Amino acid sequence: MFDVSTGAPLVRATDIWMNRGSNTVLKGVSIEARKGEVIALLGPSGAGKSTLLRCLNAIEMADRGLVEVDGEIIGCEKVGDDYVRLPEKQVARQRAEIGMVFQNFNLFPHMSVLQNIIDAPMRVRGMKKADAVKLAHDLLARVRLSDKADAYPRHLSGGQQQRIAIARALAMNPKVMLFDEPTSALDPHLTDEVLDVIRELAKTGMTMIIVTHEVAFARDVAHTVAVMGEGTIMEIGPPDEVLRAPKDPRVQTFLARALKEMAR
Amino acid sequence: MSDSVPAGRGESARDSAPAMRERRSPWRWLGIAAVVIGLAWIAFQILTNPGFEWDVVGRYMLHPQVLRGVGMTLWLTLLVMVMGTVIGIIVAVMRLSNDRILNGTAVAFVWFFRGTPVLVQLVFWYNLAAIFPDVSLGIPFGGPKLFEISATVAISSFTAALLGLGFNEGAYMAEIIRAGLTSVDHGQTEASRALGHRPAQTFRVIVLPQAMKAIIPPTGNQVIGMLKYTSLASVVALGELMHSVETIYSRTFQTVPMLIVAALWYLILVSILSVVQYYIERHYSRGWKTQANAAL
Repeated sequence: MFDVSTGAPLVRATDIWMNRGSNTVLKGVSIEARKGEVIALLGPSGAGKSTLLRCLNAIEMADRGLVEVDGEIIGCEKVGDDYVRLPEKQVARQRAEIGMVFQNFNLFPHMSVLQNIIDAPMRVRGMKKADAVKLAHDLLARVRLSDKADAYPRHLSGGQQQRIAIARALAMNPKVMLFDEPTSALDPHLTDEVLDVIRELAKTGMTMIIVTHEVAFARDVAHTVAVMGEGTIMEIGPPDEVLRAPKDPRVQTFLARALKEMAR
Repeated sequence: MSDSVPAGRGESARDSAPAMRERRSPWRWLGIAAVVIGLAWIAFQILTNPGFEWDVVGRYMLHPQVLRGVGMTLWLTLLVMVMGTVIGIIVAVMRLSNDRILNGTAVAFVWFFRGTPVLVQLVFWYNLAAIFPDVSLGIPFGGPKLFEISATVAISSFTAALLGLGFNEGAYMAEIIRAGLTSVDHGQTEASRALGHRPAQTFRVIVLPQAMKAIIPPTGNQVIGMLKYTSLASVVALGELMHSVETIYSRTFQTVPMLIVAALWYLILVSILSVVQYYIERHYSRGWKTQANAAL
């Protein structure tokens, strides 16, 4: 497994609170990821895993609490003693450093696979077309879809679409990758091809935060497993400790149920 | 192929399988007879009724005044649609904004311009001088004016037609564009933002092109409708197609053949637009049509 550096955390979320209507989805969650660390976020649906992930790149704005990536506060700036939201243009520049992969892939259906990958590097980073195309072909080879450059997303299987989505996010050369249930929309026989790509990515030392229901995958790939419930992190630690001998009874119940479902 | 295929699975077995045909209703023949008789009567009238005055139709089809009218109709349709689309995009984006004031303004715009007859709006703009004798640009409520012009000069037949039809079209286009924009999955916006696109880039590169698939067909409908709605501008004495033929038949009293001239021209123009619409729709359904060889 990749050796996780012991320096300052690359991603740091501190005391994140988030309301949705009258519902408090996140209740003061804090989490840190060091460079090269892979964190798996587990937990029952409605626990706030996806919401936490979406706060990390300010796709949704937390009501309270700070997110920092590589020392830079995401989504707001400090003015005197207050934190003030940044204009969307500047948040966009910050998001370019944070890759995100969605449950429903969200490839752009009106663009070919190649256009999907090269658009943001060219438009956001100002990369030259020839360089972007070369980069795209390298990434397509990495996700083993070299022959699909000219295909349109609609003609690809779910597993292929998700691998393209990963390649698209990697094309921005992000500092950290966020995965929001990357295999939940896939047929069981297609999940492995996506998980394999994520596994290989972990070996290259990419910092990743992965919301998933795949407990076995979390155990294999993650340095740290966090189990969330009711808007808090109930238990966090190395997979051996959290998954084998959880202390919190709610985590025990959740894992027992998740393992039973895996066996089915 | 037949030799290697086992009996019962190859071509030889096909002929012996019972063939199916559609059930034919006796009413079908009655329906066909009614249609044939109806068409025959129409054709007979068209060819033999002297009231149609086909020679007059032929003489005036390419009359310079009629052709000028056709040109004006096309020009006005084009400008109204451009104005309507620009207003429509602005109003639709305002309507989808979270800002209450922008949203409310957009709702009020659509409510007013869709809620009053376009003919009333046209005549209103034409008579604008009655309530605002001068049109000026400057600080409102009595402040200094940068630019001033008499309304009777500023509002010609053409500007009245353009403003009347354009604002009305803007209201309808706003609703079409809004429906198109909301038809795009929200995940597309999120993926675009996550890649670092600025809001304007997300709109222009990701959302709008996908919305076009839902916007183009009803917009084609609007263009075709507008081509004919421009005939309303004849009431403010704008020299478009309808006004041209009116001017001619008020002089010659050949009303029916001149109306046929106008109808034929509208039919020709609409037919051309329908073909254009087909190709535009095909362009914007990229990625949705089966491009099997490119993909598989």
